[in-house]
Amino acid sequence: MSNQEADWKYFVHGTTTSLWHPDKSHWKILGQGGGDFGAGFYTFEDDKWGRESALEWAKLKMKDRGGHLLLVHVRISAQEFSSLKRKEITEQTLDRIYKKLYKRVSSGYELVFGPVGKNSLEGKRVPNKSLPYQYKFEGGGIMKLEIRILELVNLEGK
Amino acid sequence: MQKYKNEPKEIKLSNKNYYLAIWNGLFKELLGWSEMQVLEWAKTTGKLEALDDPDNIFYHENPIYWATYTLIPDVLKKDETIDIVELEQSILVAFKNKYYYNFPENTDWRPYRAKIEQILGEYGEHLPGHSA
Repeated sequence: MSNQEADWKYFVHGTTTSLWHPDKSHWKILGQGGGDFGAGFYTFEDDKWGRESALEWAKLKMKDRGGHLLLVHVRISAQEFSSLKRKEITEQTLDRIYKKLYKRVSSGYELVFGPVGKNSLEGKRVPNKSLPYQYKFEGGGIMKLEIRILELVNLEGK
Repeated sequence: MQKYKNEPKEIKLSNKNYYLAIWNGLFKELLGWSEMQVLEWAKTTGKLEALDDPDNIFYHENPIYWATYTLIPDVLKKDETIDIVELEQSILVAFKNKYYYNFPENTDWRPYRAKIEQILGEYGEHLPGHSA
């Protein structure tokens, strides 16, 4: 990794152009989403596994909502990233946190990260161990993100 | 960072049957759909394929989440003055109670129908079979 790359942390968000488009000022991060860790902007680390996972999510949304696949690549300076008010969710705390925050409420943290959850038949929120950690930015955490690339993905040839 | 891509799969394949059962009950009450219509919808929207993979990110959300967009009448989806994301969230919130991520298969969906009717009514729309 070059010194320049080490100055930044890179994340990726999978969506579609039907959910994120210029007509409604969606070229900025609104953090409208909900999920395991409450309201905010959900991402994966922008590495191969993270991009694959973001793309899988985007494909499902595209089949549901139409539009084109879109990967939103963002970055945050490593210095700002390290100073975010944060909370790590573990396999053991995932179920409790999910039940507390699933109504798209604020967590009170600028960054919450941990496993991606899925529902077990027993009614517990358990980690999906085939997916990388998710990173949810909220409030001031979102403000510190910079959109780097909006990548329209064409599945042909992939 | 913790990574555990190769650990054993946990979700039972019968989770697929659970999702289908919830959709059958929900769409029958709210849209008047038959089980065949539900199956066709699940197939054409890629859900059926996703359900076959217990590790699919699809299972990140419950069956209700994947159904909400379909509950929005087409006329509202085509109206560019409406924030569909917000409307979809409003509908989703109508389902968020203690059962949200584990609705019983025999859930009585009629109270939810009433809630959705109220939300859509604010936009001058309603579900099929509305009798106002």
